[in-house]
Amino acid sequence: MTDPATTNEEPADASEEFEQVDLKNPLLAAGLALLLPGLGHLYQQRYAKAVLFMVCILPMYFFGWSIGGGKVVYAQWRPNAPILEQRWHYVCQFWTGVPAWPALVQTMFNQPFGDEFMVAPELSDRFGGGNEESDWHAQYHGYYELGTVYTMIAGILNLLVIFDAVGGPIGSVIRSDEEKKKLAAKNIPAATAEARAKS
Amino acid sequence: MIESLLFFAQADTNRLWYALPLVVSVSLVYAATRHERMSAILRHATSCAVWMSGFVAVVMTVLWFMGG
Repeated sequence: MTDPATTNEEPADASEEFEQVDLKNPLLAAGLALLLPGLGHLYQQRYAKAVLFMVCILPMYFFGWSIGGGKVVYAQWRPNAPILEQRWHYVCQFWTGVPAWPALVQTMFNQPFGDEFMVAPELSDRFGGGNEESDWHAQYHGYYELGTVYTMIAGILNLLVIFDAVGGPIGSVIRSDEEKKKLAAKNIPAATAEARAKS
Repeated sequence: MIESLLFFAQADTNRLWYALPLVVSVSLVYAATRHERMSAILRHATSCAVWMSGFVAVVMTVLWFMGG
């Protein structure tokens, strides 16, 4: 069997496996990706992926928000509730970025956007039982949970997108400009060099 | 009785459509975090979507038999 490290043969899948990515400033890209899904990739000029992330994540978030009656995204800390009954869903939703952050602002700064938009429910029990959140469940049935799941998954997916903006896709090659110049001087395609190094 | 059962069966089936955008989006985004080229992304996303759908189908079948 021929060792690709000692020959000039390029493995058939080298270009596929070891993709080169120019991440520009990864931290800035991560910040932009956190603001809005795909924005970091737009900055990195990875246009196809930027569009893909925007098209996949933002509609999912807004669809979930819509079928849940606009009530599913809110931040709330319940002082007397057990730890598992806190609104942990928002921890996932938060990573969607700007579309989810008004909920945090509403909770932290006494509802500057009004008392309808992304406002946490009243938790005090009413006469006859139940509270505002149970009203929402009754009003929207399974769609309330479904909307919550959609918005949570949108946030979790954007977390993956942020990691991709920082480190590139798994298996990709991150090279400094100096390394690229060296490879170009030797007339070695970077993918081939990487394949040799790995083998 | 049978009509109401059919109604609920229909409602449950219709709800499955809500899984479709989730499967598509999750597959595409997951695949895109592992590849840079669109052809590789689409290939990976397709296999990922098939795998996820199959997994959901198996779980549903098991639950169906347990419920029955």
